[in-house]
Formats: sequence, structure tokens, C-alpha cells
Amino acid sequence: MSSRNFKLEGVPFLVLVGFAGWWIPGMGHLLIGKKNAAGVIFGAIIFALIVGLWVGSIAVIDSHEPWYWAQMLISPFLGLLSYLNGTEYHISVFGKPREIGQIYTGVAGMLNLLCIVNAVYLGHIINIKKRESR
Amino acid sequence: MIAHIGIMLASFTRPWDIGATPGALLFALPLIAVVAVVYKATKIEKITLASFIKTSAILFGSIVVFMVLTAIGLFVLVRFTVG
Repeated sequence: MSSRNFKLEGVPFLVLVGFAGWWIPGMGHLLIGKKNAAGVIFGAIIFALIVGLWVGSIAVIDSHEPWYWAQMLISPFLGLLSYLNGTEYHISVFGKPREIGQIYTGVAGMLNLLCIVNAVYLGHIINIKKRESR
Repeated sequence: MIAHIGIMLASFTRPWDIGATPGALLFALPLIAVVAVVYKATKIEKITLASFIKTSAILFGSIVVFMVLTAIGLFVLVRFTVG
């Protein structure tokens, strides 16, 4: 497994990997040197997000709904969409478009959580290998 | 150019008109593809294009087949219990 030559090691490195993976999907894998996986994860999660928003509109990102917490796992930037809808656009969506939009964006968030956990775990393995090689 | 971008962004402010029809189930397919692709991206050590597409397609097919079989099983169960 390849890894970037980071000066940051140990728990701070893992926190950075997890945090980066939350803010930008796939960034955690990029930091641990898995460029292809990072690209695939970014493309797939953003695709699911865009399809969900396109079908249901930005109104599916609603801070009053339980799905919001799954959607926020994609990135904290999604809070901006909820804010925009609440202040500027005031869009309402009901029925099947709402369901489909929420499911797409919620599942994308939960997949990003899986990727964050995976990146942190792989980062932990890299830390162990670095310690053993000293 | 800016007008085109504006039109594209405006499409995110209007929901689609989708009824509760059997065709709406087809929306599950892109989502299953995303799940298969992301899962394989976290599992495969070294990603090469051909093998990654093949394994993701196999997983996608497996999930679709399993969901169809589950739907048929539940339909039969409901038919014979509730009626």
C-alpha cells in the first residue's frame, strides 16, 4: 500500500483524514495515497447527491427532517443548501420526488461515512507500518 | 454561457413530477450502482479500470437480483396471508 510522506502522524493524522473525508468525499483516501479510490468515491457520491437534488430540488435538504443528519454526512457544505432554501427560495416538495431525493442524498451521506471510516482505518494501518519500520 | 449555467442551476429549485407508478422503481437502479461502486472502491486494494468495472457490475447484478427475489417473496407472502 502506498502512502504520502506526511510529517503528521498518529492520531492527528487520523483526525485529519476523517475530517477531510467528511468535508470533501474521497479526500481522506487521497491523503492516505489511494488516488484512484478517492476519485471513484468522489465521483459516485457527488453523482448520487446531484441526482437526489435534481429529482427533489434543494428542498430535500431540510434541517427539520431526520434525513438531514444522514445528508450532512456528505459534507457540512450541505447545511448551506438548507439555509438557502429556508431564507431565499422557500421551495416545498412532497410525495415521490421528496422520497427519492431524500433517499439518494441520505444514502450518499451514509456511503461517505463508510468511506470516512475506511480511510481512517487504512490510515491507522499506515501508522502501524511506519512505526514498525523504524 | 451564464444564462445556460443559470438554467442548469434553476433545475435544482424545481422538483420533478413523479407519480407513484411502477416506473418510479427504476430510480433504484442508479442508487444500487453507486452503492456497488463505492463499496468496491473501499474493498479493492489496487483499482484497475477493467477489473473494477467487472467486479462492480457483478455486485450490482447481485443486489438487483436479490432485491427482485425479495420483492417476489414478499408479494407471495402478502398474497397468501393478507389476501
